[in-house]
Amino acid sequence: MATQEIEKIRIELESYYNKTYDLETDLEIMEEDYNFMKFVDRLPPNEKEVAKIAREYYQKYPKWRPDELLQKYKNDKKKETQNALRQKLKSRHRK
Amino acid sequence: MAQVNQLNLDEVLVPEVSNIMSRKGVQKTILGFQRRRVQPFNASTLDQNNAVGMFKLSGSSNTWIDPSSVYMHYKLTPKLTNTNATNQVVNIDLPHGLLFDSVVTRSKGTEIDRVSKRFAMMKDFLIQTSAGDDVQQKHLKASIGYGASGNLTTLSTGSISINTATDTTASLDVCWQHVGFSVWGSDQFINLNKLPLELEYNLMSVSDLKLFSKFYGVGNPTNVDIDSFKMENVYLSMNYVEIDPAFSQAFEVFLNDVQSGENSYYELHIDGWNEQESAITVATGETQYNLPLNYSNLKAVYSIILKTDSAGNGARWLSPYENYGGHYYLLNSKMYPAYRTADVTEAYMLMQEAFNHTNRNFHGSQSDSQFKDNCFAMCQNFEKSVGLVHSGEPVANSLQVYINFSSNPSAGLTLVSFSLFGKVIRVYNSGVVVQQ
Repeated sequence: MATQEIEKIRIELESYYNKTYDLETDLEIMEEDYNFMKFVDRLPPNEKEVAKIAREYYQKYPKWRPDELLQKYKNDKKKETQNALRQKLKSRHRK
Repeated sequence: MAQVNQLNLDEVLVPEVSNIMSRKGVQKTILGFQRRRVQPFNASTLDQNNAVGMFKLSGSSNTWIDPSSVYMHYKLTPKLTNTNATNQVVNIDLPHGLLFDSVVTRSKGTEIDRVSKRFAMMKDFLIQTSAGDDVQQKHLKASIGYGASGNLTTLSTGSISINTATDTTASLDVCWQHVGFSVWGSDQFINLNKLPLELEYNLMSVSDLKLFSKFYGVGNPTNVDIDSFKMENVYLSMNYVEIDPAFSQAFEVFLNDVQSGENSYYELHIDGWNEQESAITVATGETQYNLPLNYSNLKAVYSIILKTDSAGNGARWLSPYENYGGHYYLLNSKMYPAYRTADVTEAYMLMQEAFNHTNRNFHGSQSDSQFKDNCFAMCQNFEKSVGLVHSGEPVANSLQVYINFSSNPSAGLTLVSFSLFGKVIRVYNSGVVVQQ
């Protein structure tokens, strides 16, 4: 594949997954991510986002059970909401 | 605060416990692809005695099909009588879809799609149009077996050349890409666990086949006849997308939780085709024809004036101009186009619009008279673009076509209208709901 094309894919992947790739070391990861992006593209509309989240947690914690992954996701979401709330309260307090 | 502590404890404990238990191996890559074939479960050879081929496709939750990769394979052997002189070769044109009278698709006991003789009609209509590579014409051509590239020459099932002899048989290996109809028209992967499929292919009768097939060559086409035909070694082949079973389980758990209750369904979007026929009134002036359709997303409609030319075995279905003096479609009391079309070039323009042929020389491969005599059609594209979303118009038995004839058309003509509409198949645990 031409370098230009790989570079184009890298830019596409970086914006899709919101992470960075090193062309020297991450070619295999890019290939896997690219395939998965194409797979997600062709999922039912109501399953696209869920697949991305499930994979993110599956890859991050490869030895966890599915219910543990889900629990972790829920916990993270809770934390995220709490943090957002804290930030909101802080900014309100400053005003 | 207590809750935050609990969360932290979970984070520490769960991975530790997982590491000790080490329940699953982790595959390096989540996705894998492989090609498989599926044979009919009732008969491997189809002919007039075994005219129905039934296929069942099912799989586990980690098995998906790429619908654009589905092909039907068979060895086609028509038995022909050719009374031309020796070595006068006659070719027979039998496009893939033409051999089937109907294809019915069911899932979990619900019929989700049915295509009928319109395969053959559309084939006859499109065979003389120029090769186009736009989406809708690709779709039309794929529906009738001309494949996605729209190249009539290379993707036709065949021209089978035969030398003179009575009861001649000539065989051809056929590979028919299924991209144009039913669930195979979807651009989504199909999960065979959520949407198990049952496909029923019904062969066309020999008498019907004669109406739609076309003979040409050195010999006189009228001296050739089809006695029978058979398909041997019939099977479907397709690309299976296998996802890592462990990831598949995780995905399912996430899906069941995130989409709880009413929202827990598997959804597939496909295009559906409807065909309506009505006798054309022999009268000068304008006549209204109702097209009783009930869809929430009507994308396009086109109507042909169908005439059966029964001259010998070279019989063809034609769509002639027949003293046409203008037309318009009326949808929800709105005219499409906003005035009556009464010009053959304008009919071209409408066809271009319906098939997304904008800025193309649509009739490059045929003359005006060929267009007028053989494949005149009235078309209207109802698709509209809102941002990046393309959608059609809702129709609730509110579509009519008004056709004006400047003088009486011939007797025995039929108005055949094909409609393309969007269809949503929602698969719940308890069953399948088709919204169209």
